[in-house]
Amino acid sequence: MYIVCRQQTMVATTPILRIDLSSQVPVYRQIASGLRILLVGGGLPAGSRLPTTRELAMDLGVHRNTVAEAYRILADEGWLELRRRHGATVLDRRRPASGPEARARWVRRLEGLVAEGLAEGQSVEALASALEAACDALREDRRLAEEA
Amino acid sequence: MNPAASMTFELFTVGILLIVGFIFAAMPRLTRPSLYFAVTVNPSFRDSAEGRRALTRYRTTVIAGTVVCTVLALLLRPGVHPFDEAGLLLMLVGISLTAFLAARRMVLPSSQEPTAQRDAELVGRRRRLPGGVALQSLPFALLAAVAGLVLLRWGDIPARFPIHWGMNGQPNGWADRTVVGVFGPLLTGVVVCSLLLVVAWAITRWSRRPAATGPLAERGARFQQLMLWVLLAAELFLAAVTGWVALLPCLPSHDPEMTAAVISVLTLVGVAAVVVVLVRAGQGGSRLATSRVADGAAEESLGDRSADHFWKGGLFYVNPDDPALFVEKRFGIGYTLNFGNLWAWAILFLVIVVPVVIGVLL
Repeated sequence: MYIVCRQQTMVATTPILRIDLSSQVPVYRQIASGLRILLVGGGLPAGSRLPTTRELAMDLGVHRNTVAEAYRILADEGWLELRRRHGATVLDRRRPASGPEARARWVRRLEGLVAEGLAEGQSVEALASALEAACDALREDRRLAEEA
Repeated sequence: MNPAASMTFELFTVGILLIVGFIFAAMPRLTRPSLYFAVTVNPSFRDSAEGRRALTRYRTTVIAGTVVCTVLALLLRPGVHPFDEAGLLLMLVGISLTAFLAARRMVLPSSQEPTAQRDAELVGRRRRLPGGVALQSLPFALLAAVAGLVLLRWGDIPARFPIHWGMNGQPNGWADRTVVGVFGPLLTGVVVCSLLLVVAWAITRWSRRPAATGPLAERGARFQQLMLWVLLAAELFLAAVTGWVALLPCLPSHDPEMTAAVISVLTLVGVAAVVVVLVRAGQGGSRLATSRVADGAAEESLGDRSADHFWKGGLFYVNPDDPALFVEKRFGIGYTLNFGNLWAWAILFLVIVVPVVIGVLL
């Protein structure tokens, strides 16, 4: 099951990225997801400079290309601006309007995730509760970030 | 030879051998609990029967080697064959490393994979050199001051003067009163101090953090600062020594044997002080107290974020896919190079070859 590790809230502390090398989820996706959680939650405000791919790869003990791929994904989504040797800068990304197609794509992904969880023995109630908790946490992070 | 200087050299040799022997003997217990003889293990392994057996065999060999080398040092006449002292030191290091490799072979069957969970800070990663620009430029300011003093006293310098002394305190290198001859030691000081400064800066930029949060992160940060202070102290010492050597031609009445003896004693005291500081810190700061209570998951992750098979002989880290240029040693206190990175070889070349070339040319 793909487990989203909720990153530490960062309003008053340094944002931390966590990955699990033993997970079946590719590391670059874990990095991208972890960063996305912080970005959505306001933990990395616009203008923040992320470490260079080399620095982050060094600290996580992974290949530099792994981090580069994660940064590229987020840059394609409009979250980051990539500059050689300067790492990545968080952009002021406006929330895109979510049309029916985007929503349908997201729902299909969610259904796949739920199916994975059920296949691993999780109950529907547990998955729903976890989803609600994750949304509440993100909502709270954004509220704190806006107040800060 | 001056009897006082002779005794000093003998004590210097014995002192160095005892310090080196002590360091090797103590090393296995100065490492992180999850790294034992450079192998990733469960933290409780080193207190197990097998772990203690490996340690006992290792220490027995190291202590025996130290005793043998020390006795030989006392039997040899100091200063007649200066390479005897270096040879004894090499012999002790060789015996200790052989014992280490044997102990490592005993521990390898109990190796484990390093912790799979990793974390990293996303902002505020850069660390500064201690003391900032002011303190870091002090060694160079000292050398510049000596250069000014030597220039003022140019007329007092004899046409030919010694610039290198053997372990017996007798001069074995001479220079003429030329710009190169007079300022050569200072140039050596500038080059060596510059190399150490580059290494210190590179450690702040290109070394891996052991963790981003928790006591492990705190210890790692403090240990790195400690190592940077040690490097700065080494620069200051080298600047003082080379500055003093550069001043000697202006002081023709000095006793070269006593000068060499004083430098030897100061070196020994300095090395002992550094050893005490590093032993108290432990590998990667593993023996430093932290201000935070262990928070479970982050307290002691297994290993150092590198797999055992990248550590050749447990001593040399070779991982071309790892962007880190410096990693914490697994056996020893401090940092070592990632020899899978080409820049590591460039640094090694600079640190070893350049001072030798300068010494030969001058």
